[in-house]
Amino acid sequence: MDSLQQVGEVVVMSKLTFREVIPTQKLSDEALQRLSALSVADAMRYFSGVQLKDYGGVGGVKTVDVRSMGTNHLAVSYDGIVLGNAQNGQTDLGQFSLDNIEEVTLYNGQKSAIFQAASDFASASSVYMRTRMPRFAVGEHTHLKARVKYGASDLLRTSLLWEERLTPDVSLSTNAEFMTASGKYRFRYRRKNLDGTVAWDTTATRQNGDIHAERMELNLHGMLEQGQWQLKGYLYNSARGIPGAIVNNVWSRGERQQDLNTFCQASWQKSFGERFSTRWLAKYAFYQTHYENRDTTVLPVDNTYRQQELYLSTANVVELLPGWSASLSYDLRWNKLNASVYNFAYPTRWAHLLSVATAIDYRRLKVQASIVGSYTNDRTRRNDQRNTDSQLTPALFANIYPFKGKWLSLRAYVKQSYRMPTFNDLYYNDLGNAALRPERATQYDLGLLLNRHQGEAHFSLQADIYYNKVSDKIIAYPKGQQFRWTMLNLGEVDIRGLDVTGSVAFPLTHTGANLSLRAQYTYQRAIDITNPATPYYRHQIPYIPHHAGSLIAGLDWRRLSLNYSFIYTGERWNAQENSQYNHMQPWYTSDLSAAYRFRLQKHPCRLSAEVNNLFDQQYDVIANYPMPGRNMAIGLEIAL
Amino acid sequence: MKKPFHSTRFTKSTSLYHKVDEFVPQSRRLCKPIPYLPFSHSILTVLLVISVCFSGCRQDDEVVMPTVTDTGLAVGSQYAGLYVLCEGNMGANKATLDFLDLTTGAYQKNIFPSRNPNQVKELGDVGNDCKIYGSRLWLVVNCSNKVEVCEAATARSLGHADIPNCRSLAFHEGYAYVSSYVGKVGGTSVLGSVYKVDTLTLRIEGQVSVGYQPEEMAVVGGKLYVANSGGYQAMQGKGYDRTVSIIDLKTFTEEEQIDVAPNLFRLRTDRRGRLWVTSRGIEGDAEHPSRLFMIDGKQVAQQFDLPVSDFCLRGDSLCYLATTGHSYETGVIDISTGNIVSRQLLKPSPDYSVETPYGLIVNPETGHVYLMDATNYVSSGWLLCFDPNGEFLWRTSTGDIPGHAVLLPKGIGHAETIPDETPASGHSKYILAVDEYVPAPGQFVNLMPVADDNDTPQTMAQKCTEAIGGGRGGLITLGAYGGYVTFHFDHPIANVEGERDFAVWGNAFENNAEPAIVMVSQDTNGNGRPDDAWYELRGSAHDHEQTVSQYQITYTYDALKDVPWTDNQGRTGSIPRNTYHKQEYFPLWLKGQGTLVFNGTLLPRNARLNGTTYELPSFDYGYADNRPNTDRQGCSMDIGWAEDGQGRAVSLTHIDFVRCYTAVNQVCDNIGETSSEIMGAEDLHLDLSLLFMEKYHFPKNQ
Repeated sequence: MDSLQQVGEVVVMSKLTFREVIPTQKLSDEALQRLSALSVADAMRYFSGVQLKDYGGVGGVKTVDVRSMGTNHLAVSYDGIVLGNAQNGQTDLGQFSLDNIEEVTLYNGQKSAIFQAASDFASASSVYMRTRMPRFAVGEHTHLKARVKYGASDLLRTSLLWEERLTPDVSLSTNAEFMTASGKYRFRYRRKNLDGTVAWDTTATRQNGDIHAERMELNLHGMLEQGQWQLKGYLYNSARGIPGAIVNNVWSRGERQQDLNTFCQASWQKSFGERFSTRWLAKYAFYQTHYENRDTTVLPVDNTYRQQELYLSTANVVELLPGWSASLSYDLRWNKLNASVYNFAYPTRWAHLLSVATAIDYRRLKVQASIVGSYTNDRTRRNDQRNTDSQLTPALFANIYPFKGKWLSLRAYVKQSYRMPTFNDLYYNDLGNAALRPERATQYDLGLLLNRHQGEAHFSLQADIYYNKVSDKIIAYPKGQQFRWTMLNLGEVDIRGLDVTGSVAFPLTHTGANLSLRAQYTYQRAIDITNPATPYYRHQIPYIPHHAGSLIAGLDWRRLSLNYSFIYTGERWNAQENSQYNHMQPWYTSDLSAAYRFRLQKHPCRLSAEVNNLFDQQYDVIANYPMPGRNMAIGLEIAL
Repeated sequence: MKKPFHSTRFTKSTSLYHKVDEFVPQSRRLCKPIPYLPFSHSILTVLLVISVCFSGCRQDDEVVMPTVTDTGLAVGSQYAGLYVLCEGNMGANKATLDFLDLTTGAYQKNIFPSRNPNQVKELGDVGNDCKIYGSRLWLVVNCSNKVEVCEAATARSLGHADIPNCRSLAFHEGYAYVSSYVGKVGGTSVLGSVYKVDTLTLRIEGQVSVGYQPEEMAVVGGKLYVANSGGYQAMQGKGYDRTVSIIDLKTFTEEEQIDVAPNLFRLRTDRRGRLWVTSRGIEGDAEHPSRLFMIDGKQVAQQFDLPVSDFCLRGDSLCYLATTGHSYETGVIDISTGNIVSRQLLKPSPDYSVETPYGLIVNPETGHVYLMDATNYVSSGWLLCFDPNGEFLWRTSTGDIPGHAVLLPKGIGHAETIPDETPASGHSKYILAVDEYVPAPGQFVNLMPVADDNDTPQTMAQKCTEAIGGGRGGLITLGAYGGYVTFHFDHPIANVEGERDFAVWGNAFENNAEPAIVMVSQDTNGNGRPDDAWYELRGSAHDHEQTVSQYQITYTYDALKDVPWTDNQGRTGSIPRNTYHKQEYFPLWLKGQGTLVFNGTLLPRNARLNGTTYELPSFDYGYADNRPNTDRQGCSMDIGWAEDGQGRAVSLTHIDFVRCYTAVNQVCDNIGETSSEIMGAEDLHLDLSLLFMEKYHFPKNQ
């Protein structure tokens, strides 16, 4: 089976609980391991429609933009609960290690199952990260696994996984990881004269990109009759340098950041008979970010931001008639942000979300409709106006198998969503604008999925065309006086695109090897249609390439597995105007990895080696943030 | 003054611009071969080919070329062009320099990379100020922590000075003063400072602490005035700075601070020696709005209830730009009366709109107004041009955030003198100061340097010092026959046996010599003034049969008319006006005396007609502005050539003063009168002069 296929749920549940209308893009355990990706962000690059904003290096911020709607429209969910960031609405996916992730799934629109939290209906797209669930063979009760990896930029990461079956129904898993890196790597910028001679050519070492990070996770999984529960504690602590932009005459900077992200969450889910299921979620999160600037040439900054979140949710689904079910979910979310910043607003937000959804499963047709109502209420300690907002956003999903069998399915959806202005947008001292409205996104999608099995070979193809429109886009805009900004609902983006993902897997019969291939291509035309009077009217929006794609090829032969992955991002522009001065070159990298499995005194081991950016391409994803050239790493994993 | 002066130096550089124009479309190259793949499977290859070739692969990053647009309007004036410095958003490394060629009307966007193709990462991050001093263009690049110094005529970099978080520029007597946010640290507050930079060596010579986050500066009466903003302080809740720091430039220490208003920003001096300061005020605080203040003698003398964000002085007119939110107002204050005489300098028209007005500059000669529009800060801005009546003429696209501009005077040549190390002695081989400047009438008089009705012989000498002193390579005109300039060095120049002793630089080039006779003098009475006996250096043409010794000419003032003259040879004539230069040709600061009388040696006319073009070949040797500066020997003088008024050779051990005067009395139809120009002078053997000085215990000149 190709790893991109649906993985069967482990827990036997009511059929109501996992009824997805539209298939998704997924990378699971084995595929993730093959990619030798460091973080979830690196893995996300292999999904179609996704653009990664990568500031380079181990510690560089990595955020993801799906179908050009902007990072803030993406909900990131960790073991079933959305990771909130009321401060800036963005999640740095570079902070999430792939070490213990079993599955990363991307849903355009929403996860098209109606048994889910109200928040899950609310975003324009979502990525779900799921940590490893312990699985024990008969008679097994302990798993211990140690991993170590050493590579370029003095990267050292070690991790330990301990899984224990406490009772037949309850298991424990803990995972601890430590990572350190100097973040130093060589980069090169070069310019040529028009006659081909070198105008300048400079090589330097990336400075102030060092990082150390510790992550601890503790999970308790329990089985119920027709249900399950989970308790999770998470702690991430890191300190890093922020390398900053490389500009003329400036080669290093002094910004530092320390993050302490902790949360604990609980979920409880149970079905009552075949016709009713319920799920309850609770979470408390505390994020602390300490930012300081030690560069004596600029404003001395030493700020600490403390963010808290409390989240409660219930989701309930009932089968009204065979093939017709309905759900009702309610979420309550409370956010608070404190900071040691002068004239800070100290905002608090209460958000209520209520969703009603229904699903019809009639022969070869599946249809889902949902509507989410939200009510948000902000308060600040300053005299900002009290900000309340309510929204109603519907979505409709349909999937049909036009022919007998399930080898071909056609799907379509239309969805409205919005993103709330973040605390920074609304209240950040001079910049914020408390009068902002939410930014809205409307999506239309039409797609197909083709699946063929022939003996041991398997072939699948997914293709979608889509049209999105983002309006009331929240952007920073001049305030009128000398270099001051404010946030405004000013901006409209028209996005048309095509996503194609194909995969094929087959045995090479004469050798006993297995070959799998996966290719993905994205075309996007995302143009700014805000104002015909501007010079960038109908220009491609910044950092969105027209063409992007990736390719993964894996070969398994006995104990050896080889993987080659290729990523391509076409030309882009780093500002609104698609002029020669803002033009960014395409970039494409090839990564190669090999793993060998063996036993060391009966303990299964896995030795791996990787070369990333094999052809040593010197490129920027974000202008003036150079990416690492060719780099290598080796790793060892032992199961005890 | 001949016409080629008008065009030739600049056609040299404009020809470069035209070349540049052809390169605007970026060349596209064929894709490189597909990289070698470790798998040779056909499907893989096919997929890869598809994935790479649908859009193209990387090309070499090439030096970006300017984009040239035609504004359709050439403006004849003493200015060759307008440099516009565009800030570029922070971290974007998009500070760009644009150039409006006033002689052709062409607007060249982003000229720095192609003029300086070897500069790593181009001009840098966030341009914050630009000014021209002498022959050099100074560019403050804030987030690149440097001040880039270029040849003004070409924008070619000569080097840079590293100054952290630098903001604005001021100049005085061979030094640049750069305000910087970086200075003394006190807890979480950092006082700002002013750096002193030698304009020749670009070396930092000193640093003085001022208030918080200093912005613009100006020099009045040997004192440097600095507007302190306190922007960082306010962000930390400690309130804005409200003061102007006064720095004594002799001791380079902060003398006192004047309390003005919170968040000061612009600070400029007017022709009456007063200061004009703007405050940006406190946002959201109605009691402290943005305002304009006039400071006279350390006191706030007048306050204008206008939120002025930028202004430009033109004579007694202060043209201002005031902004509130997204609305703006332009107007004029008569600084002689302190009255707002217009609140609509620029007339509204449906032909244009301004999104984020960010800067304003006025051509002081023609009155054209240029307004800079920063639009949304992250895309290209606009430069708008208005005629002197405020009627909109044109607009053109600029780099990101145009906010700073400087006019490039004509006649600033390529600096032949490149910065060299100041000798350990602390002496300079260049002119220290100009003592007298008495040009004869001419088409460039009152323009090079600029003069107005309020100028005096002293202020004009000072302006000449600023132009040609210290190796700055500016240009001054001596006007028609007899006009002269007298200058001295910071030491006597020794007469070294068998060697040329000093050089005088002009702007002569092939067939364009406008010779000036060079005179020398010793300060025998020791009063430091050039009032002693003068000796003429005998050049090659002194022996010519047509050379007239003891020649005398008298010019008579006739306002804005051809200037008539009579001489002691019984001839009369005039210096005719032309259409290129419309200012008064008689030195304005001397018109009170009605006539100008000059005595000296008259060299023969050197002009000849070749077809329809005048050629002015040079004499062999011994004159200033006679040979091109590249002909070092041809520009060099030997004190041994000195002779007295009767033609007798004199032997001088050293000289203290040098004088140059236009030595030909000729008018060549369309190119006008022949008038010498001086760009500077240089002691050719500083070490020997200093040795001489030490030996005879000469004090250092002031």
